[in-house]
Amino acid sequence: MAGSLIKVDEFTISSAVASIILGGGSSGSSGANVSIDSTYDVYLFTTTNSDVSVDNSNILLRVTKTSDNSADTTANYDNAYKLLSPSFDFSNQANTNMTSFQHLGGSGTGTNESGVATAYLFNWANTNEYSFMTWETNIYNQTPALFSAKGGQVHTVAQSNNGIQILMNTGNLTSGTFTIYGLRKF
Amino acid sequence: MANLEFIKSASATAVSTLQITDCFNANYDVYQVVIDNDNAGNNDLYIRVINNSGTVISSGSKYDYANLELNAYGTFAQNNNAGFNEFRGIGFQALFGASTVATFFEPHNSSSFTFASSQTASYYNSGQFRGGKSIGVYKNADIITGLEINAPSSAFSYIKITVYGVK
Repeated sequence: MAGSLIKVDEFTISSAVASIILGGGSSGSSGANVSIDSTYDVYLFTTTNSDVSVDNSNILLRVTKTSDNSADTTANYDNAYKLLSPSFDFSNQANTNMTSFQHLGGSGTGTNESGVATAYLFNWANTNEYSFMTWETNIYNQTPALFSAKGGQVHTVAQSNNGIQILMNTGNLTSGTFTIYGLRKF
Repeated sequence: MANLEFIKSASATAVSTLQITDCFNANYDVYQVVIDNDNAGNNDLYIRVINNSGTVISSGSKYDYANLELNAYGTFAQNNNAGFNEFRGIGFQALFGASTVATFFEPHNSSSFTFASSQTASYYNSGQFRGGKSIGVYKNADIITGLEINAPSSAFSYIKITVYGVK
């Protein structure tokens, strides 16, 4: 029997790379040539075992445009989230008009430093709506150890998007599995 | 093809501890763990991992956690600690019920720490709602195959744990 959480695309980092694309049609890194589209209303995006080449660097995200499969680099990314940690007081964080979504900020290079995350993507392929995500991360960096973002992000352009770019603010991704699933609609 | 696959469930009544063993394996990196319970006490759940030797890890200060409590009848509160001997607040216990959906990442990966992230809705004494958003890391890169859920105050009148693999 078919399930209701359907894997759409997946890419595992096997050699250092500055960015990859999930979905994104012919620009996708997996070579599957698939896109986020109206097949599903909601998509689940997961990250496991992420690692980076530069200490305290940031893994970021961008939408890719259905029109040309390229990442949207315009300053139209906003977010708000709660920052949690076992090691410091929780705080409220918010940003507007960034050139990317945040994802796993403060990624480290030490032993066992790694990040995981889940995000639900809404209205990605809807031409008439902004693209939203709910977003939860969990990152272990030995100083200050574990911390997390729990909140939401929005791309404030009413356009159809077909994928998600995972990129670094500096250096490379050296490890990680990135997957998108569709939630079946009936 | 199903990508959210039921693995195992366990349930009990009138117990203070419930284990679910052999629920994590090499077939999945990501797991959804659903915990439902009723309990006369009002407290955090205490959760410990079980390794592939069947040992419940209850010493060594290997657990870090952080929990944001969203209280309908009071201020929101933070509860966080590093170097404890269990996760606290990845789920609550509550008189009128507490329901938690937790995601566990890479418990069976012997080269990675085990991460957890959860959301809880509960309703405790005097009709007070409490939500929770929690994170945790078990700081030892070994093979984890199960979980032990403990009630620190009073016994569970009912508890059920269900584990799904995300493939």
